[in-house]
Amino acid sequence: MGESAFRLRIKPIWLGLKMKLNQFFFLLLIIGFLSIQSSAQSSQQGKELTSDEGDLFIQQMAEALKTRESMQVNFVQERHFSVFLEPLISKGICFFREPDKLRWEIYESYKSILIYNNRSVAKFDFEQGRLRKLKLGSVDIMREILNQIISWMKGDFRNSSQIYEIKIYKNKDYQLRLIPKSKELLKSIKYIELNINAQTKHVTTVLIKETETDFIQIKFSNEKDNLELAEELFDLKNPLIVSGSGGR
Amino acid sequence: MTNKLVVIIFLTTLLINFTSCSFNQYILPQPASLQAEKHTYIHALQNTYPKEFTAIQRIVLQIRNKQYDFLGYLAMSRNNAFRATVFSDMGGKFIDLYYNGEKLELIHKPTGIPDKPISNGVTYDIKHLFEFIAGNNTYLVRNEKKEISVVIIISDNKFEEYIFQDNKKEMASSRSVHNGRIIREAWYQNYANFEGFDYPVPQKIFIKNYQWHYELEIELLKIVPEVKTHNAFPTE
Repeated sequence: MGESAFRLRIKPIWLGLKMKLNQFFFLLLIIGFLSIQSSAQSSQQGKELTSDEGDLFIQQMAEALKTRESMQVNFVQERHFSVFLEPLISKGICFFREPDKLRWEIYESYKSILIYNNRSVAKFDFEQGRLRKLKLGSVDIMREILNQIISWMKGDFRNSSQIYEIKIYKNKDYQLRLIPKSKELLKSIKYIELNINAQTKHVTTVLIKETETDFIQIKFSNEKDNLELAEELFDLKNPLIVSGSGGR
Repeated sequence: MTNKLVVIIFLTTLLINFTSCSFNQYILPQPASLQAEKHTYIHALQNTYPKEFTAIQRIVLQIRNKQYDFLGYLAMSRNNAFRATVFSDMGGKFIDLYYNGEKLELIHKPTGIPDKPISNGVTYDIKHLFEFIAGNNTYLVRNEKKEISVVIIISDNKFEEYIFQDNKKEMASSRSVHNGRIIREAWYQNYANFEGFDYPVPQKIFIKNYQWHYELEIELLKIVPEVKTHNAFPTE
C-alpha cells in the first residue's frame, strides 16, 4: 500500500481526534483558568455557607473587585504527582486589564505566555531563547472560555454554576469550591478550590485536586492593582517580555 | 505483440515511478567492520539514560498544523516497564498509560479519542526514545557521512537505528523502520548535565511519527535517576 493510500486510511481518525481534543481542551481550560482568579493545599474547611449567604458573598466579592481596573500578580505553581519524587515548581506572572485583556506567563521551570486580547488568543513559547508563536489548536473554544475567565476576574461566577456545583466555606478566609457536574470532567478533577481573603476578597491560593494524592497548588503574591499596564504586554504578535523571562 | 510489450513496459515504468514517489524504501544498512568500537557505541546508547529514572517534560504536540502543549511525566523501570502521564499545561490529566514490559494498560484517556494513536503510536515512540534493548541482533554501521550508528533488529521486517554524532558518543538522530518504511524519526539536541547523571542527557528531542502523522517536541525539565516504584507501577 502506498503512502497516499495509507494517509487516506489514517486521516479520518485524526479528524475525529482533533474534534475530541477540542472538547477536551474546553474542559482543561476551565480547570486551568480558574487558577488565574485565585491562589493552597486545602485550607481547613470551615462552615459551609447557605445558598443565600453564598450569593451574598459572591455579590460582595464582585463589589470589591469592581474598582480593580488592572492587576499584576506573581504566582508559584506546585504540581504534586504521586509518581514523581518531588513536585514540579513553576513560577510566573499574571496581568489583567479591564475590560478584556489577560496574560498568563510562566518563566520558570519552562517559558510560555498565553494572551487573551479583545477576543483573540495567542500562545508563545521560547525556542533557543527566541519567542515563538504556537499555531494554537482549539482557538474558538479558548476564546469562549477566556471570555468567561474575564467574568471570574470580576467575581462573576453565574455561568460557572452550569458546569460546577459551587460550595462556599468560611473560616479565617473563604473557600470557594467548584465541583464538576460532568462525569467526564470528574475523571480528571475532583474539585477546584479558591482561597479568598476575607478582607480584600482577592484570591490568594488555588488548589486543583486531581486525585487524593495528586494536586496543583498555585499561590499568588505581590499583587499590585490599578497599575498602568503597557498595551505591548497583550500584543498578540510580539508581546513585551517582562523581567524574569528574558528580553524582547 | 510489440505494441503490447511497449504498453506493458510503459505501465510497469509508471507503476515503479508511482511506487517510488509514494515512499522511499529504507533498506537495512549493512554491518561495518567496527568490532573495536562496537562495545563503546552500544554502551553509549544503553547509557543515554540510567536503568531507571523519572522525568518531567514539556511537550508540544503538532497534528495537522495545530499545536497543543502539555506536561509529561515519565517513569522508566529496570525491567523495561514504564508509566507515562500527560497533563495539560495548567492541570487536568490527558493521557495516563502503563506498560509492564509486555502489555499496555491505558489507564486514562479522554472519552472518544481512539486508542490506536496512543497504543501503537505514543507507546512505541517512548520505547524508541528511552528503551534500548541491544542483543545478538545489534551491530554498527558507518554511513556515507562517516557517522556511526547502532542498528537493533527487532524482527525480520523491523529495526531501530540510532545515529551518533561524528567523534561523539552522543546520539544525534534515530529512526524506526518497518517493512522498509521509516515510521518514526527523532533528533536529539542540547545535551546537558543533570544532577545524579554520569553522562549528559538530551534536553530537547523532536520526533516525527509518519505512521500516525504527528510531531512531538519534548523538552526535558527535570530528571532524577530513581523511581517511586510502588506509585508508578501499581501492579508490580
